[in-house]
Amino acid sequence: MTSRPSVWEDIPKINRDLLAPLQTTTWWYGLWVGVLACFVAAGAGAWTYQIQTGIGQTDLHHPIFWGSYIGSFVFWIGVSHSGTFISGVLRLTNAEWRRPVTRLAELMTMIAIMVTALFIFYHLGRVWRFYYLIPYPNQREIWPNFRSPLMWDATAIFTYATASTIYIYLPLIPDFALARDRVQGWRKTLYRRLAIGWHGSQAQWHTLETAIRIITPLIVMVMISVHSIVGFDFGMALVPAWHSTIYAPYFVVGAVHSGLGMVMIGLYVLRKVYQLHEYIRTEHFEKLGKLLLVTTLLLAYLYFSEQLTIWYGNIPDHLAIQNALLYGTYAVPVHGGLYLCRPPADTGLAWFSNNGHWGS
Amino acid sequence: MDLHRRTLFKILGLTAAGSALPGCERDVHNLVPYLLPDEDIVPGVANWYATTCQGCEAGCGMMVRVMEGRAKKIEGNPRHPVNEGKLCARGQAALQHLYNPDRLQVPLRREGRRGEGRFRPIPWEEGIAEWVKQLRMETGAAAMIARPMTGTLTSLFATVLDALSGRLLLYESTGEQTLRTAHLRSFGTPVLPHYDLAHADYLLSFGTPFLEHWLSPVSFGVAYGKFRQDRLMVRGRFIQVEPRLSLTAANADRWIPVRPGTEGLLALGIGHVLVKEGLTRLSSSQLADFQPSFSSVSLEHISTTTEVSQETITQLAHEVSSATAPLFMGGGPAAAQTNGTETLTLINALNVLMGVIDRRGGVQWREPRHSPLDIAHPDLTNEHELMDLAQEFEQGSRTLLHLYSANPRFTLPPSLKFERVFERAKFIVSFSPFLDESTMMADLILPDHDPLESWGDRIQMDTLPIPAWSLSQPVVRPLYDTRPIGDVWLEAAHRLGGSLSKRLPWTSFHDMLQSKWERMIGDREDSSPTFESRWKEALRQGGRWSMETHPRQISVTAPSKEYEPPEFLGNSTEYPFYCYPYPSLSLHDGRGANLPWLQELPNPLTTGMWGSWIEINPATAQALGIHAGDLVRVTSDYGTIEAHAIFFPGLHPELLAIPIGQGHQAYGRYAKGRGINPLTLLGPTFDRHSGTLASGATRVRIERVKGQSQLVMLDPKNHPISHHIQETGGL
Amino acid sequence: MSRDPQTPQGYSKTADSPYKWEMVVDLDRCTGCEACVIACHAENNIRISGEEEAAQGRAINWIRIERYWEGEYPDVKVKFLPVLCQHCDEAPCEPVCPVYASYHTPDGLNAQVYNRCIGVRYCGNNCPYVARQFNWFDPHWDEPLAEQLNPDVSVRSGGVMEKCTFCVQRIRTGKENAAKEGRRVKDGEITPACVQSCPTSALIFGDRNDPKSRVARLKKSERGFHLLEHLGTHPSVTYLRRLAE
Repeated sequence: MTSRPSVWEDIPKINRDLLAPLQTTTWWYGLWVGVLACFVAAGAGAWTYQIQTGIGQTDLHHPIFWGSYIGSFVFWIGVSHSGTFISGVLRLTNAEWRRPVTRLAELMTMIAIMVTALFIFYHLGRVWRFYYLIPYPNQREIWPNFRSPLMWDATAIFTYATASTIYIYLPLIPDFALARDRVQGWRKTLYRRLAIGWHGSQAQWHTLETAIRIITPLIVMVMISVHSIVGFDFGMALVPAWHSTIYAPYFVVGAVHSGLGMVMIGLYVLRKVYQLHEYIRTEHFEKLGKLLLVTTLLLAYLYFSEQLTIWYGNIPDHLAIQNALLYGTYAVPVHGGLYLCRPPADTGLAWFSNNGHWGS
Repeated sequence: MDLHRRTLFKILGLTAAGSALPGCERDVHNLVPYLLPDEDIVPGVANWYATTCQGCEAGCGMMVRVMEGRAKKIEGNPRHPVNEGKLCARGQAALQHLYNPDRLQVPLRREGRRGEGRFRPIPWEEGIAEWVKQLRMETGAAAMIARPMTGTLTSLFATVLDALSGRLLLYESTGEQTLRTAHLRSFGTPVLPHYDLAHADYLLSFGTPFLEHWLSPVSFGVAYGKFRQDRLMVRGRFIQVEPRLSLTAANADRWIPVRPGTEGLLALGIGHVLVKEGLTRLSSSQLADFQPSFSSVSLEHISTTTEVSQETITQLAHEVSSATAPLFMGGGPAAAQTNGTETLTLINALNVLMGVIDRRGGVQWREPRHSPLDIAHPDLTNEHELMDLAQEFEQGSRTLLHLYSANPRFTLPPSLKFERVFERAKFIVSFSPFLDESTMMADLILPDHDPLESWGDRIQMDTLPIPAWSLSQPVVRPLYDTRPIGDVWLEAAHRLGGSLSKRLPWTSFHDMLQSKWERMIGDREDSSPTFESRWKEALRQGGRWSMETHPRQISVTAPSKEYEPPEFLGNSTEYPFYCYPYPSLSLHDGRGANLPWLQELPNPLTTGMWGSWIEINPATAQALGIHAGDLVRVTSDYGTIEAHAIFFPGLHPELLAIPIGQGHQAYGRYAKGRGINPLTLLGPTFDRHSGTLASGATRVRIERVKGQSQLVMLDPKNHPISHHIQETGGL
Repeated sequence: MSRDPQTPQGYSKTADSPYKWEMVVDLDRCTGCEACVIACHAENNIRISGEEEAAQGRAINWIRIERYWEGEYPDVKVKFLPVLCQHCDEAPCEPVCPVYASYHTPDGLNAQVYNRCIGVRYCGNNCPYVARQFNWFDPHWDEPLAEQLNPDVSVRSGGVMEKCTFCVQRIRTGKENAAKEGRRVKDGEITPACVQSCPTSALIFGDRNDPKSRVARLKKSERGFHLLEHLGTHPSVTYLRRLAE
């Protein structure tokens, strides 16, 4: 089952190394939490200000109604999707080197999807009426409008959040059991509940593996469809240059691409901070680098097709946007920032990691 | 709200009745009128009152929608002959005049130096006493500058000032004095005729901004709709000749740009072709008078001077001659030159040549058989006379200045040195409802009611198919401790005593108005038996216009034989550009600048709002290295302004056009410190015959300056519709 | 798939109304004078944005005059185009609203329920006519300007999308008056504020279900066209082309 036979002997060491942060808390952990809490407080303050004064603080104006909140929403949901995708695909393809990567990728999914949900709230003009989005029984029999891509979106995200929670939870059960056996007090109760009576019997392992085997292809399909639906938010709109069928594949590829980058950065940080050089190895960066190269090329192709379809479509209002993007007002940021820099930069990153520079 | 003893008893009584008869709804319904002692108030039900717009000289009839004692909306009065139920943007914005946060609410007395802007509230008694004291002290030295008006109020002013040997000057920068002078010369009457656009089939307009602010824009708007589309198989054709493509020109079938000041020459050229080719509609005897004026010109010279090709001139003449009902109008930039009267008389002559005087679709004068002659209808004042007034103040023969809804410190170019009046006057009384630039200099301010709170009337002879006597009535109760100017003047007349008091026996302006109207509509063979019922009917209708009329007698005179070319201030090497400050569509001569609706109304041609701009021809700008949106400085011998440059494709390459209306230093929070006033550029040059300021006759130069300029624009360039229209070739 | 634009499926639960409101804009009459813009502001309690907000592109106009320059000096032409909500039968703004704040009335109006709107602004994105305007902040009137506010029209709070309603309050009053007398609404009985004020009568409003109404007749004019017709939105505003040389 493993490419490194020594692992079996190393099990106690692995358990000790990986569970160490659960058992010991260092001073800089507290400091880091404090720093992050300050960020959260600043964000909460800013949001309160926006609610009190009005959504106009976003600096948006008509006819540009969607701005950085929606941009961030799309980014975070992309990140969350790719986490699952990486883990799922690697599981499906039985890529055994995946193990250190999958857990991080799945965790990233969970965190990213929570952040994503926040951006929906930030974006609303009247967030105190957010519950109109929820299909709850009410006297006037007004339900949310299921023809709206935004409702598809909300449904899709909810489905995805549920599915990916199950997906991350299942493989975690044995680990919860490990933790249960090593901690005391309220955490013991917590982990006991989460481990739902896991004691590592052959029958349990068999059931768990079957469950994982079933849910893995499902989650990959959910991920692709959910991110296609996020793409529909734009593709279904009549806005020039949005109104295009390319958005679903574009978003899926873009999501995997940005998620890969995120995973690599996360791995790097974990490796440095927790001194996990033994577990997160150069090999992982090399392989992730190869994947990144593939998605970079795919994305570059989609960049090209996006413009090609607009050009071939030859609709005046779409062409006007294209002209502004390629030759007009936005030409410098689009060419300089996106087309010229991003694929080469990403390819460079892929090459860089592939040559083991992230090792040591 | 004042709660009088009797009112209180009524309320108490009703409350008692209400508590004794619970559930009896009628009592509850009755309660409201007693609380708000206006019998017309019904919650949720709108009342419409007819009154007359004071926004400009057109005098459109208005219907004001009043709910629960508050004015909610103004619409045109469908029965009024001027506007037939329609109303322009400025007229509708009069509501913001009434509810303006910067309205003066109490009489004010100056504190500190004059013009410093410090005032202290005083009671009305003190204010009127002070004013009457000044009138007694300075007998024979009073002068009043007011906006142009007609009717009972003017008659009151005239009577009082007459008794005090004072001077009444009715002034408006857009008063069309040049046109009146031209009509006096051409037709022997200064009364402006009715231009029957609705029934014309060919309009050749020399600069008249008749869809913007000229004479009666709503009336012309109504007629324009009919001119274009109301007739079977006939769509009027419309040619506009002017150096700047105005909103009016934008609607023309063809815009013919000419060199500024040469409009008259083009009219001369068209007349020349008509006369030469025998296309006129005059009898040979009549034609003999006109022939000399039109025969001794050379088309070639006209073509090079006006920059209109000879073919175009001939073509225009042929189009005119083939039209059934051609019509010629002149004004706006054509009148704003030193040869304005000359230009307009030549255009008048074209109307005569084509025989449209007193014809359907032509130029018509109507006057009522019974004319209310005792109602003063004094001539408007022009800038030249205002300079005379300044002279009088300087010499000390005038010392007491009255101001009423006139703001000469803003509407007159500083180069006329009218400021002297405000420096030399011993005492300045203003009746204006706002602290505008001129009222800022006042020693005493006795603020008038808003027009929507006051009684008034207006006797209109100009530009109407039939004369109209319009009434204004209060539609809401006064908001503040202001007083109607008529009441204040009557009060002063009584305090001055003597014969004046006898000549003005009324205690309130309302009584005076009614008694004047009793004479006007009292002795007429009408179905209504009593004056009271006739008065009520007139109030309901908004005035009176169903009177017998007959054509006014006019005597046609041919234009002079010698064409007078325009003259400009400043030489063309140092100042290579013509400059035309034009009244803004929304702010007019600046009086609309304190109304936020009008400030936020995008200019239809530039989409600019909340500010000023300088229009420049794109090719000219390119040659000068000026980009759209640059801060540019325009300089003349008399002043300098800096503003945002806008590329304006419809502009003569040697012309700069700047809207008037912004650049206030006072006049409330919405107007103050916003934009620039292009009148500061103008020099003291006048039309030779009428004495009105030649506002297009000062030459300027333009240069780019460093600095930021911002102008709010509602440009549709980012909208999908505009892309579509641009790509697919139009509407 | 073709649908009868008169009865879009799934747009309303209630029975079909006898009325279908339509506006005709005669560009041969429109002079761009903007009387309609102020009329609309006065009638519909449209906020005053102020210079700063307007500079951000946030000035609210339910009806605006777009102008297009064509050609170069001296052969320059300007064309005006009053643009308001087109009250499309296949309105792109309606299906995208997640909370049904934007919906179709049986009369064929494209209505906006301010109380229901939560401000996701998808409708604003999706309106190709840029007719939808958003309240980025709560509105403000310097006292006593607020005395003018029309009690028949709600004032929109911050965070809410708004747009032309064809003066639905006037339509309702007209329909109620007609119902009281047991008759149909007469042609010309209901005029939205812009139509009422238009000096040249460039705007005409009425019921297109009534074949004798002015709008029904003018709609058939050979000068007629719709804005962005290729999008298939089936607008209820018909434009009549300006006649040129």
